[in-house]
Amino acid sequence: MLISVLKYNFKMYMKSHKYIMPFFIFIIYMVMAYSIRLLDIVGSMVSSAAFLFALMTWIGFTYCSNIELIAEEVLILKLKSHTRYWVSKIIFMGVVGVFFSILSVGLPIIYNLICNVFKYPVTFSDIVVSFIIHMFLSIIGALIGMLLQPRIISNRKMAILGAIFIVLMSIIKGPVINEVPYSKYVMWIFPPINEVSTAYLDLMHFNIANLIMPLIIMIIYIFIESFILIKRMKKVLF
Amino acid sequence: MNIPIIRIKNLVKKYDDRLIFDDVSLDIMKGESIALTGHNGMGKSTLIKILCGLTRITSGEVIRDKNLKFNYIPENFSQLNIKAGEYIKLIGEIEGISKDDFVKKTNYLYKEFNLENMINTSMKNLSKGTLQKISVVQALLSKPDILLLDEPLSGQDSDSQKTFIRMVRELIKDGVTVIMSCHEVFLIDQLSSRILQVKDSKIFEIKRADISSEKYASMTFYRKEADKSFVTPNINGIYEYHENEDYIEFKTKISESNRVLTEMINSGYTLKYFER
Repeated sequence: MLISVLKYNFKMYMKSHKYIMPFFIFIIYMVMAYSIRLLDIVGSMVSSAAFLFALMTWIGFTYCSNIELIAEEVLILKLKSHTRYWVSKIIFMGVVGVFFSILSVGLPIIYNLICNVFKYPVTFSDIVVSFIIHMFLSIIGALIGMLLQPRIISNRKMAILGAIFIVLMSIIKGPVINEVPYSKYVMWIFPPINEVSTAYLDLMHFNIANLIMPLIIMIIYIFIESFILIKRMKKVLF
Repeated sequence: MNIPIIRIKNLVKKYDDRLIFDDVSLDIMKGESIALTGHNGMGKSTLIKILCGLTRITSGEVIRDKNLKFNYIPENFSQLNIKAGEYIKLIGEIEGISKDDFVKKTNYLYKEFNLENMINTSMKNLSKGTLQKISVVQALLSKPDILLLDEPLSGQDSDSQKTFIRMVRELIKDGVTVIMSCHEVFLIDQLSSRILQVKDSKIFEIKRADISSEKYASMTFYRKEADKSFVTPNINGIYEYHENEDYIEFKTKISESNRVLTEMINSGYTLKYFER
């Protein structure tokens, strides 16, 4: 059943053409980010993951906006469960995140084989860790977007402002905590982009050992976001 | 027949400040076929959504088995940007229907509802009646525990209406509980064993004779000259709607006939025939 629902979600999403603008922006980012040589792979990949996080927030938000209400109601009844319905939506966003993660990591690596973009030779752990970071941050971003959907925040302008605020705070949370140490008691609420970048600060290559802590934080973050989303949507209903 | 499949206790439902249901209790028995009647905006569609858990309630309790399978025919189906046949195929896959069964079932349903030439058309380009037939097909692909029908005949031609009634009757015979919101007396007469009227935030059980005395007016209009593609007029209170190449015909309650006539003329249609 899960595969069938993912297929349904995929077809509906593709037919909605909501992916065109984000994909276009993604291509522009890739061209701009990798038009400069010689790049530090750690810095490039962390920036790219942060960008993908922001992009997926947008994708998650638009995915849940302007939905075909009646068709979605029919789907919920076919699935016999609101939880199953929302889990399928989260997994679908995860699939979209994986797709963009493959492109975000794969394209620069291929480009590097042709044009030597990176300063140092790319290692296996660079590829694996980059992909994992992209994938998890993209899912976190998509969930943020889904949490800001019109059925939770009815004022669209507030939702967009909220998304921009969360994305910005996630990116600048490290420097803010350095400046105002007490802010860490509040800043933990924002997505863990800073935890990822701090783990590889001043390193030339990614390593799997440094990923463990950020990975645990990201997994916990995804579970909490998913829990809040499902709980909230089961309360709001349609 | 005497087991409640859904039990509503002290239901209160509000939309903003508007009270839709006020302390309503209701038992729906397994195998019953219930018609919900009442004026537009009284809460019939809301009640259907409450029964299957699609909308939240303000207070009270709706008791039902978690695993009940609901099939639902909404009043206005989404005009999706996807071919009708493709949509039905996706729904069939979600329902877990085997390939052979799916082909057999859809061939039968497409033929019965005269949809064979429509399945490769995008749903956003279908007329209201055809879209409603697609909605019927998705609901009849599998046997549910409860079939929810919200104005199921709106816009459908008379042959499809007959087919629909026959198929729903077969499901009732098979023990499926049917809950239907509708205005058409002939449909209530043919399908429903129990009639509930939604009125003044309450639900009343009414007798068949109470609704059958309603008088109807017949109206026939020429198609709009400039609109040969033709879209079913989006006007409330029209029943037994039929269309052909040259004109459209339907019935409306005598009490609503002046309003409907005015709205049709204001929408650009020319009256051909009127009978009270």
